Amino acid sequence: MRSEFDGLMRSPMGRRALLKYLGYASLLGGTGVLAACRQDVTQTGTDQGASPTARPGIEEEPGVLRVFTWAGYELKPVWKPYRQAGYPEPKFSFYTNTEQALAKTAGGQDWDIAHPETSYIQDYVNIGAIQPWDTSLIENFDQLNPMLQRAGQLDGQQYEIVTDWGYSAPIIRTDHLDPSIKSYSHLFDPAASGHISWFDTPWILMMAGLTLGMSGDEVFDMTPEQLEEAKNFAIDRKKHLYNIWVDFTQMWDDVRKGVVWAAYSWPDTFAVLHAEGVPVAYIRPEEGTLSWAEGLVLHAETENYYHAHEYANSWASAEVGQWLIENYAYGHANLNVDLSNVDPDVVKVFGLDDPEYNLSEPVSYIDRWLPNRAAYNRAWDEVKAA
Amino acid sequence: MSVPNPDAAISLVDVHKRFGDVRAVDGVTLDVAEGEFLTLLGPSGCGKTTTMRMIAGFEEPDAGRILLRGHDVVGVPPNRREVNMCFQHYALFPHMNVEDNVAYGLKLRKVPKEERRRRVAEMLEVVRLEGFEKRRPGQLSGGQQQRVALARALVNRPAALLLDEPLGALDVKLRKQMQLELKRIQHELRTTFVYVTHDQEEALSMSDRIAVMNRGVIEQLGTPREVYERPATPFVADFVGVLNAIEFRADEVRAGEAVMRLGDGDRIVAPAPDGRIGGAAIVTVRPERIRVHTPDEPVVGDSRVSGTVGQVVYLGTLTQFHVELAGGRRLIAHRLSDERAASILEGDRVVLSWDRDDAAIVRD
Amino acid sequence: MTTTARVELSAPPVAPRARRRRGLLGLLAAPTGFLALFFLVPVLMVAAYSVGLLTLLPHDLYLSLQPWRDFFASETHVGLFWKSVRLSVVVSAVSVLLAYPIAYALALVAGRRKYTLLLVILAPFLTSYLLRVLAWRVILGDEGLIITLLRDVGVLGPEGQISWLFYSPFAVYVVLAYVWVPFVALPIFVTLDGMDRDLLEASHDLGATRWTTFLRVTLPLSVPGVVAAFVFVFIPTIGEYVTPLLVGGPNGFFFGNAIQGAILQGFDWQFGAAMAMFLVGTVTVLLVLFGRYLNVRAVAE
Repeated sequence: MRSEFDGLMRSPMGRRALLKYLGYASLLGGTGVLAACRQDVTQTGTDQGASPTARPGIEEEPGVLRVFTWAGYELKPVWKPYRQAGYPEPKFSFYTNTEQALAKTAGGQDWDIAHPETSYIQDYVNIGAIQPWDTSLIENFDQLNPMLQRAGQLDGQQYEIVTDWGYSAPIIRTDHLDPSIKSYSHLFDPAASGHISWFDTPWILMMAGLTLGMSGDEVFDMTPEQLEEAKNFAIDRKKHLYNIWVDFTQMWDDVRKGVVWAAYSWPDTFAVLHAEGVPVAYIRPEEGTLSWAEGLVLHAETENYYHAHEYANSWASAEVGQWLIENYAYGHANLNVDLSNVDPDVVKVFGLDDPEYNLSEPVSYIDRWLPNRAAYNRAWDEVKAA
Repeated sequence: MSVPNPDAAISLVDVHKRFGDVRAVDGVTLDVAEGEFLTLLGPSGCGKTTTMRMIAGFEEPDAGRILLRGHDVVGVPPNRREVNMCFQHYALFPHMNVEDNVAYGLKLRKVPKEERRRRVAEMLEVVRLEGFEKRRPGQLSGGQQQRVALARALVNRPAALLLDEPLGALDVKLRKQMQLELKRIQHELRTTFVYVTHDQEEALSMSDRIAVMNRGVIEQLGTPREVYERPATPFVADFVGVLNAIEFRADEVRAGEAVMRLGDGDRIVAPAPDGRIGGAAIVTVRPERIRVHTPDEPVVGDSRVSGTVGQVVYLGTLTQFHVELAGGRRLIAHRLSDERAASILEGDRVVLSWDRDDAAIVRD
Repeated sequence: MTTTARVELSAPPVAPRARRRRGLLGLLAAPTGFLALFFLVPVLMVAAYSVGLLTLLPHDLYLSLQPWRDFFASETHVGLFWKSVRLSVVVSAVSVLLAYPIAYALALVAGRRKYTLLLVILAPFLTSYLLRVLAWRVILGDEGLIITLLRDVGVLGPEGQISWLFYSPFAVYVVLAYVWVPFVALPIFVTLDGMDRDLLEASHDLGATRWTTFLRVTLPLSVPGVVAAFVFVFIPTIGEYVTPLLVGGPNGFFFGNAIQGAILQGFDWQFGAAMAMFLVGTVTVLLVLFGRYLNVRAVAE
């Protein structure tokens, strides 16, 4: 079992976090220069309603896809069906966090396909960078989890083919904390004082909101009063923290050693530690599990329209899904993924056997666009500064 | 083992100092009298600076005794010895003004403020820098800085002042002025001065006595006149002043003198007080004691040699003639630059003469 | 006489001096251009973002001082600035205090081995910064050297913790001081090494003990080096964010982190740019003051 999760060390979500904190100079310099000499993306019209009949056929397209994605998603198994169909190898470029990706896009970086989380789809639409997919061109589309695909829609248009997902929830040491308490309150528990580890994200505020009794829909759109309440609660409970982790492998180590009893974590943490035999439990809170989801978006001015759809189709296949789950412990949107090689405990905890149910409300709340994101960030800043 | 003079300001008894394999000071014994101006003269590496630093306390001797006014000071650190030093590059504290520099030693001794002010002003008067109290070292010329350094050391009324080539960094004219100044100050204050230099002219003009050092030993200790006119060793003879040296072979020894004949009536006569000359010997004579005669002039003198003028060097007051003799020998003669001297040119045949007692025989 | 006339008749040649000046300008053009393009231009662009002259995202405000107003109105963020200033002052002071004896020993005591020892002290810079910072986890962390030692000796219970040792502001202070000490030792070493040894001997000769010589001569003369060292540490430390991220823990959030957060996480480029420009402004003012101080000293001497 262990060997299958070796690939977890290259887990993009985790590397995302680490690289997030290691790629600044290039961001400020590079995107700054780009922004200065950008072609104004907002001004060029978005080609949203271009009828397929006006497009050149697939044979006339340049053919080499430019894919802008997380490091780890360029590996061959991930686009295997695309390759097997005989299409040319895509050109990959990478970003270390979504904000960087968006900033670069606004600065004029060209790509055909990108891979953002669902909460940023609106931002891409706002800068006029993307157009909706034509799902009729994607064979595997009906195999995909409708709950997830709904998260990829805006104004009824499928702007994102949602491909992978995971949870952000507490992982606890069962030898110190009670796994029967299915709540985000573990992350704010005074009884675990000195042994709690958060991640650096405003999502802590949402978890605080859920713990305080707000509903799943409310936490994604808090009123200023609610935000204030969540913020103060987080500030109050901050004193019980051991640390705010930056490197997920460090967090794994802390949980492994029993130094940390409750940590903000993604599914890969459970998969790895459980396989090692560490007494941990991954909590699916009754308030609803916050899940993130991400997938492919299509550039508004792509010249590889049909190739892109083929690529998306490849991503949506069960084959790729199986590889993703076995190697990165991320959920995949395809409902027909073969789970026979996955640890049954993992399947049970993450509800991989019934993803439709598990990803529908009120069991889970999928990440969506925050209208008042700036307020969340300022509030989170205040929590960190406290 | 010599007994130190109890009245001496400074006594060194058989002092030795080695640095690794090098014997810097190899058995130096010396008494410096109260109020004396004594110079340690020698080339670099002769041990003069090391000797001085041992008196000051910056080096400790490997063997021997050092006494200051009768007190043994070996092992006593420099800040508790009653001598002060003047450095070649002045070592004025750049972050203090002249007054604070000069008062430094007094402040350390907790001399009260008023008395300090008075003594500093007095000393600045002595070195002729009245009114310079508030200036900073960076604003002073080399000569002024040296005087401040002097004042800083002397204001403490030390038993002796040690000066380590203090005028080395000054230009010639200023140096000569400062030499006179130093001499005057020393007379006025009657402080014992121990002076280190490699400049024999300086030593001759300023000192009461000179200790000529070479390779860690004192080759001669005497007054300037003694050292200059009667050098005790070839080294001293060569180092102090310009000196002519010719290999001497006695052809005849008679009452108190030895004669070497060189043919053509040339002869060199030198005093031989003990009546005997050993095997190899050198006869020395100072250039200014040699008379230069043109062929038409009468020659008077015990020694006389003829030769050809090789080079004429005009030195202002003196004219220097380099004369080549038979047998490859050379002599340098000095003559006041009068009209006669000006008429002697290179290539001319001349006769050189000098009196018997102006020469000296020095054994090798 | 004829030769001079001939020279006057022909056309005056380009003075060699002017040609040399042009050559010098050409030579300077490359590095100046580099500096302008990769330093000045980005700084100006950040300044432009902070006032809305340049905007990135559709919701950014165009030509507005609102980001600046938001910054000065935010108690949290202004408070973070002062927190960083405090950090800088303490870290700079501690570094200088620790580095001074090292520099002193190297310059005035080590003798012939001083340059070798200097290399030894600078050797850690050959290793990765991240490694050196994370190595502190081994010393200060739970299950680290100190805690284990205290547990073995009995001062702490078998499960005892000292929470403020690591993942805390304390850790940030310690790690930063540790990282800076070798850097800081260098300017102080240079100043002390360049000091005229005769001054020390003169001081001794005039009756001072070693300690008095240090207080009255060595220390005052080393002040320029010390001040340079202090500023050398102070300025980068105000904006420090990496070390707080790595070892600062929940309370190790500083001004640099706020800027980084605003720009990289929060999509709040304008706010972040305003904060960044404030930092640049503060640092510039400090540099100017420091430069004036140095000039004044030079004149006084």
